[in-house]
Amino acid sequence: MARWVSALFRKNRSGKNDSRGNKGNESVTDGQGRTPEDRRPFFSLVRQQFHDCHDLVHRSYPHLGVDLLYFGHLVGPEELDRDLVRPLETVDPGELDQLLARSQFMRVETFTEAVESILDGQAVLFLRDGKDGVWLAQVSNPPGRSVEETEVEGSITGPHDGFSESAQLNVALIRRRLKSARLKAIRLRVGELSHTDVYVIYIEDIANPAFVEELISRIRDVSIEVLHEAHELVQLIEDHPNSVFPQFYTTERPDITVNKLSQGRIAVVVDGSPTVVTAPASLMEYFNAADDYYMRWISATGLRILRFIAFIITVSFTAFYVSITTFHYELIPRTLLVNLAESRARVPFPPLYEALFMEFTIEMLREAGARLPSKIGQTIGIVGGIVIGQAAVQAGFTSNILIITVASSAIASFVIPSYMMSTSLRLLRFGLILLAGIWGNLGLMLGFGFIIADLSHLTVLKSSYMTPLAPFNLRDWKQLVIRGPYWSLRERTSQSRTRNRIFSKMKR
Amino acid sequence: MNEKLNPFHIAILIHVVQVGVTVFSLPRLCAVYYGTNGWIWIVIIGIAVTANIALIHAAVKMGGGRPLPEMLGLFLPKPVSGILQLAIGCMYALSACLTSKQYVLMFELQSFPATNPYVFRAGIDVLILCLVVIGIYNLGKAATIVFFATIPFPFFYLSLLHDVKLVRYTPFFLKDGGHWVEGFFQVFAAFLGFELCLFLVPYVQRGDTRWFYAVYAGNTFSWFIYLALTVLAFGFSSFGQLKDLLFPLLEMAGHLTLPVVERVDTLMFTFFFLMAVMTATAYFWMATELVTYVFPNIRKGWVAAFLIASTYFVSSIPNELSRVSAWLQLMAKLAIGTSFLLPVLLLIGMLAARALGRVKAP
Amino acid sequence: MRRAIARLVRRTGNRAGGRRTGSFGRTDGRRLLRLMGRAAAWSLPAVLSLLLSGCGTQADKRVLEELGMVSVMGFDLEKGEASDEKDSNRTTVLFPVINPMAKVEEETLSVASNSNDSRQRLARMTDRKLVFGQLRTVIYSASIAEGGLLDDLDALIRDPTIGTRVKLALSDGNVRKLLAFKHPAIPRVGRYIDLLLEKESIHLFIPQVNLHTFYRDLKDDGIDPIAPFLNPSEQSVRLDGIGLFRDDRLVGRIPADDMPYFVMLYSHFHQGTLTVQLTENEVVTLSALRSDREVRVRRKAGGVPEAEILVKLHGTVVEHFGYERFSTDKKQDELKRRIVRKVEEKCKEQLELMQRLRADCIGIGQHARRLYGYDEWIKLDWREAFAGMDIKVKAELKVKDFGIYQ
Repeated sequence: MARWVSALFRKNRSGKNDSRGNKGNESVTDGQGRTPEDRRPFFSLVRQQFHDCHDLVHRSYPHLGVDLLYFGHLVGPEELDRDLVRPLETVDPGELDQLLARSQFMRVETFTEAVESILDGQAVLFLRDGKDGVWLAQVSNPPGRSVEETEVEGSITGPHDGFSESAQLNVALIRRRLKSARLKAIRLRVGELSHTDVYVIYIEDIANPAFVEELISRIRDVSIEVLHEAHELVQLIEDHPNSVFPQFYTTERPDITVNKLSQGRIAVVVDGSPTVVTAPASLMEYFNAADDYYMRWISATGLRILRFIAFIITVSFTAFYVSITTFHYELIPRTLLVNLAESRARVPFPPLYEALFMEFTIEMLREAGARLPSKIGQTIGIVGGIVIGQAAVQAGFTSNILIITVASSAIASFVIPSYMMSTSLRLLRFGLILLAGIWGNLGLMLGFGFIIADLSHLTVLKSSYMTPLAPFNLRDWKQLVIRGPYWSLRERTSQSRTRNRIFSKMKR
Repeated sequence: MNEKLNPFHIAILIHVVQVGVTVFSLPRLCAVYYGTNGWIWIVIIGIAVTANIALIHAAVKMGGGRPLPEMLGLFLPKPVSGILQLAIGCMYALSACLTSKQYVLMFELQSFPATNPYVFRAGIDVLILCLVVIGIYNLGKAATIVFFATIPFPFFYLSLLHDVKLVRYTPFFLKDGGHWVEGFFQVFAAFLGFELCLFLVPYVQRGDTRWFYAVYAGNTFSWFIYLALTVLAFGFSSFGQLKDLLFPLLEMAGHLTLPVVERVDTLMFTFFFLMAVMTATAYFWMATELVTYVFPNIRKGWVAAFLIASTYFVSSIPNELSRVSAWLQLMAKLAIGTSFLLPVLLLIGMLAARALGRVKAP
Repeated sequence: MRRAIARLVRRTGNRAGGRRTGSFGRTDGRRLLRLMGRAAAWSLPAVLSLLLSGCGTQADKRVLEELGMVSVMGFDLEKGEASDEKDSNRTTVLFPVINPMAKVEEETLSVASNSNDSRQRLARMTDRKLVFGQLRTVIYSASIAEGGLLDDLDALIRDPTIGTRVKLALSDGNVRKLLAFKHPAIPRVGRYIDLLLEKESIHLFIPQVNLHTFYRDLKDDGIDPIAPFLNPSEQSVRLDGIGLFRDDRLVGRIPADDMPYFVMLYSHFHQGTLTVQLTENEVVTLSALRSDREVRVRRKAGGVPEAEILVKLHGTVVEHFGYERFSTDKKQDELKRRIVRKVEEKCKEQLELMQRLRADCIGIGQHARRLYGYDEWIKLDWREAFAGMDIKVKAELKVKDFGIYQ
């Protein structure tokens, strides 16, 4: 308490020391806790580093005086065979140096590099007998999923390839669509233990360098032990991690990523995650689906408007139902009045509890459906949705109008293309229902006020989340709010602060 | 990256802050204080408001980009300017609190007659605190969202045009009114909110002096809406009726029909909540700016919280709609006085400061 | 830029401690918001219990199924039985029954009192909470209307929960009986009345009269209010004429058959049907009738005003009895002339009735206002002037077609 009071009269202090005293995410400690980065990579040392790693393969060629260390499951058998095994088996001891001078071998200077390479799945070659030299061959080919369509963001028209867990594969999927040397990929490693590869991808003259630097410096500042996934990284580098709304756009589709890159945004590929993050993001992006770009612009605009309406419905419909049945009966149209009242008459609970109960049930069904294998999951969905709903109405637990309300809210939440955003909205919905149930329409508007306050102060890499609404930019509306015809889309969106605005020089 | 306010957002901010709960009683005020066809005075008062803004514009230009408290500090001794700022800050804070209280009371009239307003006001004050604390740049963004959310509503009134009869305007101008001075203050109070521009000075692009035109634009837009709605009201209701109805525009809204909702006036007033909150927030923000300048060691968040909490208790004293209106009218008169006299004071003070050599002439 | 990035990438180790996550966005009250968040979390149990107990709004909970949403309200005047007993007002309310198993669809409650506590008494007579937010019609008996409606309307207009679009109607007989009207074809008389008044006002054989229009015309010194009559018959409840008011007192009425002519004088209508009795045996029906009126006033030499009302009718002839075929233009013109004459005659009758009653219900005063200066107008007793005025009615008829049969 005293601390708070004295804090009243103290100004802001900048950055405190991290309690762990951690220094970085790149160094590897050896057994004694030393981090000698420029220690020589002796075979015995490296071998000892990997003691108790029984999956490490050690092959030696005594006649050559060569030891190989690699993880058998991380290397690609073909590459290993082609680059290492066959040459080593056929070479004469005298020509070893010439072999090692070939392009597939690279010298390894430091201990750290040797260990990291082995961990990466490369094969490291040590020379014995007093000869000095450690080489590495790039034979890594870790197991992973091949390119499949993503389940979460499928599209009807449009390409069906989606990212998989291998960062190399993901970068490949991007590169084959943007065949330009200006597409840069900066490689970073995050996580002390995991050394996860993180690629920051951008197009050089299009992306704003300040954003790129900011993003890179934030990623470098992440000092955790294991980075599992892109979404975890996102939450570590966000401006406002405590907000309800997702602040970086995530996608599993290469075509969307390429679209964002050409808009001047920056993509972050994380190894081990099929999700690619793009920054900076704005609220309107979460309402854009992949198919929007492949359809005709009038249809696409109509669908976008549908999504905005769905957004309003999913957030406020049930809350509105609660508020008018509890406090504001005068808003109900006369023709619906008796119907609504009769359907409510059988329910023993007040509307607030009834609505919370139904929403809770739907959330449980949703979570259960996510856990179950797909075959059972579909059945439960139908059983839950239809049978339980119907039975609830007949048992008098809920009114049928509420079922319709809750069901349309749920359906509307699936209309929003981004899973992260619809999850956030589910949470908001509960908040609004609660507020509407205790304070009626005023509570509902209070809830909207809080949402507006939250949205207004959100920033992504210090650019505003609510672009193009605020700061207002009418030209961007053609791309973010409606989908304008391609002949009229000539400039990139303003949020990326690019210096190179024009991307289409086509004359109509 | 972009902490400066854009002129577009300044215009919207001014408009949203200006439109407050007074707009609903505007036709009655014109009818009671000015008489038949009293809407004409809105034109005149709009001109007065524009003149006031021009005064502030001149003061700001004279100040050369200095924020208000700094300007005061140039020609007034520290304690005097400090007390002045605190007084103005308290007045703004109290006005803001009373505005939100009036909104709550009006809302309760329709839907929550038995509830004590302290409950709602606590909730609204938390929201206002959140909005004040996010800073004026983000407040501008919030105002833009609110603007787009509520802009259709004045246009809904156009559907009532078929019920407007020209003969109801009576051919008599400004008869049966009487209290023009009192009326001036009352109607001017509907335009209050533009003095926000005085406090925006440190938050706009330095060197770009055109942002003030955005203030004029926002004010003109509010002015236009007020005029249009009042003229509509004078044709929709008869003159005698306007004098009796407390909130004629709300009553007019009761005639709007939508197929899905019955009482559109209740719904409209509900959406109006956002506008009223913005007005109160802006005033609290101005008060916070003033007080923070006087006590720079306290963090802004705490200042805002203290102001909001203390005015919450002070404004618990009047608890009826008529008493709150009376307090608000008093506050409005003080605010109008401030909005006229403060720029005059600044102008004189800056001239004095130049004469005394404390400031170089540009 | 490339160099900057290369520098960033090459940089080994990072700043001491690494930045704490979440400190990238800047707001003034960042710490206050965090504090608020923490306070909210700690006080969650208390807050939750407060929230769920309604947080102060319990008194205003109006849960839908517990309400008796009054749709029609009626007022009667009951004379005191003994000579020294005061007259009491009988209030009847009608609201739909929310019970799928109930036999009746609407419930009527009625109570008489001579102090203004009807609402409290009514509240004691039902298990529902009586609310008036969905009130749609208010019916007064003619005897109350004759005594002046302003006081009675005052309570309704003052109430913010009652909208101003509540329709106003009068009844000759007992309103309580009217609201208890039972007929197999009309299960819900409240809804029936509501729809009847709305439909007719669309077809505009009566103009839409609600609290707003009544009060508006009452307070306007250039026009007097009107209200429709609703009376029960054996088969249904019907519209039975228009009541004419002088200020807030009922002084006369327009009979049901003459209603169209009144409306022609009062305002315009879009879609009406009019049956004109030309002579004993000849009846003509006009349909799809649109009417528009124009009022011209002027002051004659002595300052006395005179007026001319131009009624423009536009419709199709669909029926005629007792008239020869009118296939030629000459015959059609003659028919039109005769219709016009009859219409003018009928309209003049209504005007004369209003002038006799000194009730300017069609609003000539509003137009005449511009002929006078303000002080003159205030001093003038418009009703007297109206009574002595010479008002001409001119009608024009355009017939779009005479049907598809020659």
